[in-house]
Amino acid sequence: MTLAEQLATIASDEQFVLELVGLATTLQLDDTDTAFLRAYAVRKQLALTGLARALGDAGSEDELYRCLAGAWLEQRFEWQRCNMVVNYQAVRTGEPHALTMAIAAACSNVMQRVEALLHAEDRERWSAFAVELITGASDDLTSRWGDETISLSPLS
Amino acid sequence: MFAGQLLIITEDGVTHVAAGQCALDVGLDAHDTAMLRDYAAARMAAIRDLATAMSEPDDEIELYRTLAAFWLELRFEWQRNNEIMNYQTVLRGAAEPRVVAEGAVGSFVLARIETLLDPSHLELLTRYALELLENERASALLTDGVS
Repeated sequence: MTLAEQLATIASDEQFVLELVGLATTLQLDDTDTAFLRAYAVRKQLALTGLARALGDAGSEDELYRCLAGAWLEQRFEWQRCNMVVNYQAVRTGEPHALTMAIAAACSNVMQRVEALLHAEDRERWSAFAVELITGASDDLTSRWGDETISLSPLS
Repeated sequence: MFAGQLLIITEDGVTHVAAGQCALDVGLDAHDTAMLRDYAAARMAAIRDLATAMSEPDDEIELYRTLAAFWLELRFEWQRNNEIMNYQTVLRGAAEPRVVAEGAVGSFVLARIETLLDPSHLELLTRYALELLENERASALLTDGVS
């Protein structure tokens, strides 16, 4: 099975949208937020099927892998952002928004589906990059993202 | 305040108008136009959630970093849409209007966020992102099986 075929199988899974929308019941979302979550799930499915179809020829397997890696990173950053927002909401108000929690969970679900097609060591390296970006943990990023650099922001 | 600048982006209605215009320009049908509007609304909601959750003066540095990561998230999304459009154009002679429209609105949101980030940071992020993916290959995966 080619990488594109494996991706197409994952994206066309009948449970894809159903599982993600099922989070609405778990988190007791109202009708408006459930519709928002459904639209999110459909967009994610279309994104994966679009990739698999467009890059489906065997000659572009490496290109598809890089695109898939980018798509996974896109999910990873989104999941990280949602978690950050949920954590702040929980600390500040004691009540994180259910919709943001649902999106974070949906995001995690999509990531898990895609990551089966990626090397574990690649994912670990990309995850470390995503965390370092937010925390400024690495030496290189700290030197560029420390307080002095932030003060260079046009808004500071 | 940085959070205040972000909220202006979500409240001025400019992105909503741009999405509507883009749908017209590309010739989307009613269903895809509704999807595009949902997409634009979701992006604005994400920015609003960030700005309201991290709205204290002490949050500014973390908000700035999270916004930079959000920019990168949008950049990867734009790149994905761009790759799909390029392959569709080569293989079918034209890209799917829905993808073109989402790519255009995504690019519009990216440009709005960029106005709040230091150009040297954007350059650094772009370089990191390219370096991160430039040598990745699927071949070992396909030979050895999924890890």
